[in-house]
Amino acid sequence: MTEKTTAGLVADIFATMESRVIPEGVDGITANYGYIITGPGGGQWTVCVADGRVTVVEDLVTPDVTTTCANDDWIAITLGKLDGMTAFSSGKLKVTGDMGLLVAAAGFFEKYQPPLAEITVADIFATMESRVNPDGVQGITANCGYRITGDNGGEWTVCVADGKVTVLAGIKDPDVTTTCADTDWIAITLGKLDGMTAFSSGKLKVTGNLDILSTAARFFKKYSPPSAGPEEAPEELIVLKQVLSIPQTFATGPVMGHFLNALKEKRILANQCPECQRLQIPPREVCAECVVRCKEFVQIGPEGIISTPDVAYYASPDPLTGETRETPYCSCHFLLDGCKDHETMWHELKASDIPRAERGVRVRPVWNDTLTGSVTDIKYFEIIDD
Amino acid sequence: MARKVGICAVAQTTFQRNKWDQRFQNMGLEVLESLREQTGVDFSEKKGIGMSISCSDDVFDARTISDNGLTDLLGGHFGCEEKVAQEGIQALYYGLAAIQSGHVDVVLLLGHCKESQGQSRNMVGHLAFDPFYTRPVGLDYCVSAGLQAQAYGKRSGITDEHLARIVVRAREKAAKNPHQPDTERVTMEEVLASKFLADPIRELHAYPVSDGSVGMILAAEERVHEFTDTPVWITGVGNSMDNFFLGDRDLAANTALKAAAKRAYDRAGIIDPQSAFDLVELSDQYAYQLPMWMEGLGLCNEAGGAKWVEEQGFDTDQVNLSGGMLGGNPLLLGGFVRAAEAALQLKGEAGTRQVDKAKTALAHGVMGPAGQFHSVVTLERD
Amino acid sequence: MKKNRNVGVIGVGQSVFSSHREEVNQPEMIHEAVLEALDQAGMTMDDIGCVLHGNMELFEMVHQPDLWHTLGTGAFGKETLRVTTGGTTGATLVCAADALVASGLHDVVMAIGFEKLQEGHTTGGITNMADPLWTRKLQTGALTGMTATQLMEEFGEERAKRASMLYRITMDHHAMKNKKAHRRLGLEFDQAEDLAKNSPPLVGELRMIHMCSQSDGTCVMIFASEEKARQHCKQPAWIKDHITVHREENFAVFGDAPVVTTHRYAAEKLFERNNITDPRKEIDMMEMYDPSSWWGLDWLREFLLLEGDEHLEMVENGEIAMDGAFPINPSGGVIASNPIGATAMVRVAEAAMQIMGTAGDHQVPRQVNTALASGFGGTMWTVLTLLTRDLPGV
Repeated sequence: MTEKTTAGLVADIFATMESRVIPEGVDGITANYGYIITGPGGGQWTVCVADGRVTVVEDLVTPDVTTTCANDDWIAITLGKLDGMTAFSSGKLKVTGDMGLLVAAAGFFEKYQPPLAEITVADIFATMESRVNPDGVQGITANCGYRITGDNGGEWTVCVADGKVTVLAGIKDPDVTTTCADTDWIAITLGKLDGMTAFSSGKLKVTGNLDILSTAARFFKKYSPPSAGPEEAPEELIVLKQVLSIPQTFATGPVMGHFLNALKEKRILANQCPECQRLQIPPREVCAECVVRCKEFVQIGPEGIISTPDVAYYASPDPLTGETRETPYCSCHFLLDGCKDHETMWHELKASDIPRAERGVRVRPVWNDTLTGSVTDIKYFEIIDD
Repeated sequence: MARKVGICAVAQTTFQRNKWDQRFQNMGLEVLESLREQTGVDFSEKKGIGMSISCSDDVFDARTISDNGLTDLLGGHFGCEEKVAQEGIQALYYGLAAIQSGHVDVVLLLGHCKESQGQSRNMVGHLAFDPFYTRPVGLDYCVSAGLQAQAYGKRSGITDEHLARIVVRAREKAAKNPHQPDTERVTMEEVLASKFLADPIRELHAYPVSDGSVGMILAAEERVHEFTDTPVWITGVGNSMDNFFLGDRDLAANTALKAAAKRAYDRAGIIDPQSAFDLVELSDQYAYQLPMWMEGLGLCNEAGGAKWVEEQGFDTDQVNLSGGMLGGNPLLLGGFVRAAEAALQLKGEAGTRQVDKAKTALAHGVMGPAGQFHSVVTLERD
Repeated sequence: MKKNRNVGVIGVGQSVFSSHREEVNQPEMIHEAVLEALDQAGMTMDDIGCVLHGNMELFEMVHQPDLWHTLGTGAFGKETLRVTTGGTTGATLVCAADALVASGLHDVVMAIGFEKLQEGHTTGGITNMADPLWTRKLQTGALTGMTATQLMEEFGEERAKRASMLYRITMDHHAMKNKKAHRRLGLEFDQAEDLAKNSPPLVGELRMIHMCSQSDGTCVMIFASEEKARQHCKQPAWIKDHITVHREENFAVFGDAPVVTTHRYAAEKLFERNNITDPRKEIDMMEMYDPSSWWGLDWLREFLLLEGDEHLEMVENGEIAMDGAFPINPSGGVIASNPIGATAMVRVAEAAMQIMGTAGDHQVPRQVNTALASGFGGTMWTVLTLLTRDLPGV
């Protein structure tokens, strides 16, 4: 991308944001997104989202999250030529503040369409020799004159012979001459105006051998205008969005069911392998080590120690509801009283205890007021203060 | 020439409308314990089960990697456990290949399915269709079967009466099968009056919803006698996939089944299938399929389905003595249970449904809309 | 145990791996790789006896997806087998394909592993593997910071963090040479410190930069009997052996006692029965299923049966680089591309390509005679595949 075509593009991206807002995308979001775009044409902007509306300010105004990146990279990300996550991972794009806000930002705006660079009639004729379609000019010998009127116009002759095309300035020995306005000629070339329609409606006038003109449509490959955007926008394909779900009724069975029922009485049960004697929490039908049925239940805990804490900063959406929980949270394996080795129980540690989450620290379960016989009957484990 | 593979033992739970008191692990454990008791096999490294092949479906189980829930009882802890995510009869196909390759000697097969768990099995089947065209027009396995039943019925002259006779007879057999405690006898009148699901398929023409588990122990010929005195040999296997879009197929043509059967017969060296089998177990998810699959397998004459039903071919040919899928087996395990039932007959362990002197058998499984995929296994005892 | 007959890999096809494959639907994306594999093997669908198919259904919410995918797989009229084992699916497909050919049931089979992760929610899909009654409410996909914690405790925070970043950046250097790879970031070693500090944390010290991608993509492999392989391929990659080792549903690794990993257990068994006593010398390279650079670093020790800090040294000395003494993942590995149902197969396919000499820009500069590939999935499950240039004795 040349400097000339990108000049002003960053400013244009921000300037068009308010007109590109997707209402559902910004619904329920209140945040200021700061942007520091470095390099020529860069600057500082704040995208303020509130009450389903977007206001763009050309300065940094109390941003909740700030993104810093180079102008070229920002343009590439906006045009979809550079993946935002890739730019972020590779350090091209730096973020400070509440990173979680950026996830939603991808759905704020309609796709940005860069302004087309000015298309000139001269450029259309200048590129003809490079756009020759060999099959289209095969066996044709003719001179086609073009008289293009208007500020942008001029006169050219397209000479076809021996499978080659030469474009000359001025009208030279034409077999057929076409006269039309510059804006119409550009529209026809871009496929926005049908040549036959233009001829029929009188926008395009022809003198000389009309038959030659009917073959002229196949002389050249498609004209690509010089543009700041992708050379040729591909067809916008449809993406089908659906939520699929099938309501389930999970049986708990005599082993898991017994364990869940005990939770209603604030008792935590393990079951024991009759061969290797190890405890299983939660109880399972067989011991995987010995592949034998486990029938004996043993009450454990309820207090114990932290064995392996794992602090998650990434909010994993609930696969059933799609809701994300608050971060950070601590997914934790506890060794309850009466258990040893790998006989751990997996649950959560109270969020405010995370800074003190270390191996060996004593904990106790905190129960919900209403007990339903579910894993969530235990709200979380908390650290026991001496 | 690869070594022979024998079925050493077979076990199954009852198949019931709703095993609300059991997780699939409970059902699987019942089968595993029976197999171990019958054969004395264990999971020891040198002489025990070298590979377990489970058969389940993530969508039916509503669980990614559904076999992970069975790892413990499949001896998968520091052992080899694989999963066939297709019609369960394909576990025999994979187990056969694994043993014949020389990689293992003893293989455990274990399938489970709880059709009662999801709100509707049709919602599961619906997800087999592409999201752009065939889902929006509302196809599921039952509707597709309806289209096929129309096409086949027209070609072979199958009437509502014929279908009712098939159902009455299937329920009769199932009522004698202790693995089908929930399946009751029905009368011709009841079938003929039952409501339409997808014309011409009536409610009683469709296999009942069920939960259950089935398993087998396979072993290489040189190891078989460590586990059983009555091995049943897998003599042939064959399967085939049809086109996906129903409009691309002749729904009455049995294209995939004919190809599957030919492969199985070729491998088993069978030249005249009509005289090759003492009994047959077919996956009849819907009543019209019993004569249709018989035609496809070359076991009754082409377009001769109606006559076959009228002459009670199902009795003379000893077809679905278990009651078949119309007795009630889950979609995913239909063919697997058919192979299990056929093996029980050949072993002489079919109890109340045992026939005399059966030496050879054919078992069949089917999956997908209007029989897109068929799998055939041929069996023989010494 | 005696293998019935030899099986060789004679063709590999891979679609472009990317997070953006909206321009193709599932069968179309599969078809891309099918065509490439057939082309490489010099075959048409007429030569294929059986089509194997595997992925994880709940990622795309398609039931029995091989039915619809027949439009792209070419399975119409063929025998088929569908096997799935979660993350190890691709490696399991290789084992099944090996069995189908070695058994004599088929002379040529095609195995297809695929995933279109952008059509569903990956972490949600993985979380769904947990028991619905218990851990489903606690799990965070396949993410864990425990390995990072353990390595930092064992080797000191600074050295462990640096080694995991060196591993990460080495993988990116490899990915830059593999035009099929999804994430090619252009990282340099001087960014190690900055990235280790500033990349957003996911779980504990597991940061975004360490973690594998979520990709759309397909891998296809064609396997043939010795006779067919010789007819169609100048240098097949022969399947010497493979081993599958799973672990129990509840892991049982989070307490206070020694842990034998399935990786080390599987490697010991495989090496023992193939008379490999010094894997670093007797094996030439490895394609490892490395879901994060912490795991990749840690598992090096397990797969190669190393002791102490030998695995850190291998990374620090550049031994795992493409031109190093023991190249790991010349493809860029799983951190670069991760279409889950295909991922484990890509490991075997890439190892096979190194033996066949078809890896192009990411071909290891010296001859690869023996290659190892690992698959990973479930609750720490392992599949190892051993491939050789020379025909294994039967």
